[in-house]
Amino acid sequence: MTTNTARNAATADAIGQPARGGGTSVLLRDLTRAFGATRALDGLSIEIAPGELVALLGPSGCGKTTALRIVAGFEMADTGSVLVDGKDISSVPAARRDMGMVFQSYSLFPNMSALDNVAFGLRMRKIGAGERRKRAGDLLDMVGLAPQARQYPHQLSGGQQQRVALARALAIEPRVLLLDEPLSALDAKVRLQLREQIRTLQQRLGTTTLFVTHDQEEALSMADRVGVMRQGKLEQIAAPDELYDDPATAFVAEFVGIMNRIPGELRGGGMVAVLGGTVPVKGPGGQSPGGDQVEGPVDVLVRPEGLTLQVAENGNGIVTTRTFLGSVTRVGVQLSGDIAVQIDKSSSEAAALAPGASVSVSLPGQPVLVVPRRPVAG
Amino acid sequence: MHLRLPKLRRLLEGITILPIVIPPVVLIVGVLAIAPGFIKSTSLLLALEYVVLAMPFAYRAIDAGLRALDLKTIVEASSSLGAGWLSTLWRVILPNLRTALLSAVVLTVAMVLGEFTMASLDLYQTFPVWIYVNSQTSGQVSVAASLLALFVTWIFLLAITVLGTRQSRKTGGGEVTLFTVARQETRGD
Repeated sequence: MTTNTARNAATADAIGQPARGGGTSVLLRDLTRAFGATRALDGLSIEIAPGELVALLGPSGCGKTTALRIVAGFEMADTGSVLVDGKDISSVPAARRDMGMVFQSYSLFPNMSALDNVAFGLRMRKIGAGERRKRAGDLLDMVGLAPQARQYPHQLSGGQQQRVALARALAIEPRVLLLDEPLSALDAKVRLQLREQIRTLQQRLGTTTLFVTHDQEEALSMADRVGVMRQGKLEQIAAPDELYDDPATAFVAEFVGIMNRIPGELRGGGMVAVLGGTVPVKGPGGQSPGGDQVEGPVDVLVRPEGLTLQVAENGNGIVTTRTFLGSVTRVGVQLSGDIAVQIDKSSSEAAALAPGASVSVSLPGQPVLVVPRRPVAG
Repeated sequence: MHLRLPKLRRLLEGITILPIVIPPVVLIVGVLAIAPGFIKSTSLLLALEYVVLAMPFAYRAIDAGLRALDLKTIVEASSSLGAGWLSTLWRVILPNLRTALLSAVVLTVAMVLGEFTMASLDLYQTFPVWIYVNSQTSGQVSVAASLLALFVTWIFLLAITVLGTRQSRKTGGGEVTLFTVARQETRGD
């Protein structure tokens, strides 16, 4: 993070305050937390570098929110610790942790105007009235809501309320910014705008940020690194492109993006027979997530853009659906053996593929991921 | 209680409804039987009794107000911004309960001003008791006093209502009227 000092200098300009030297690093060490019989967190460890935005992604109930709440100080971990800049903060109450938080539900104080909401944290820090008004004003300006400063929360739209909440969280110049699904209550368009705004601000201020979401698009587009969680454990934490291209486990592979599962047969020598051809197997460091299996039946995982599709008489599949997505069209194909796959084609080429057309589906010969064959359901 | 012990809420609701269920006569006779002598016939005992009597109304009004707030999130937001318990209560929760608290006050005042049974059995002369006693001797005085009482009460409630509404209109809360009070009552159930 060599650009960190530069970012903090930008902070200083933006809100007229001296920059705090360097960013803040956060370390979650071996956190466990059980609610009754359910283990919400099961030995979770994450390291967040200064100025980094890490997203925690996972299905609901995977423990991501619990992790965030433990960092914020609203929950206690059963075991494990949270270290901020190397210091254990487990015994520090939430009010003294210096963490800005944006909540999923609207959390503005209804009795205060937008400006007073933003200034609240500064007021709690005993900063004089003039100074805090100025700083709150600057922050509202930064989120583009200066004209609404005098308005009360009920007069603001959902997106505006979350922007005020963001300004309020940033006003205290938090050491760590915590975002708990801040966009999930908003409609699609506003969500997209706010997503960019949060990311831009976060990069400009260089605030270390932990972001919890169940929306993979959000996580992949905003975060420096994305941690995929499942049942209280971290499955993989990596940069978005790595997560997409080199998933460490079958769960990650299928949770992030769309994945086709096609039965194949391992032939040894790192080759797998699938769809009437033979292609090399890949995996992190040459190892496939399938484990040590060398031969036998497996499932091959391929992205929709990784399959080729041609119109062919007596091909191995029949087009069932066609979904126009803009520049590409996603074509659903039924293969023999009751296997459904989805294939992305450029929309101009896909025009000829009407449902019912006979097509031939094949793999272009790129290395593919394999996982143990899933037992056939039903 | 809303925050920490949501399960206890039902029990408390049950307890707070008891004073409505038990007739005031029963209540006062019981209280008089066990109350120590020095406190009988004093305003202190009566005040204590009124606290018990007003509790269900006040509780319900405030409970409705608390439910309308996303209390958990607001308290957490406040503490993440560095506010301790007292600041949170004073600067965040109480201002947002203004409407509910005013409803509670309106209900309590209205009830206490009109209460007769307990006061008379407690041998303490509140205004209603005084009117009653006087109506035995001079009818005109008591009618005049009744009208005066009605008028004063009405002015008082109106003042509270206007004050409350002015504040809550600003923050988007409902107006404090006897209608709101009634509505909050039903919502509380």
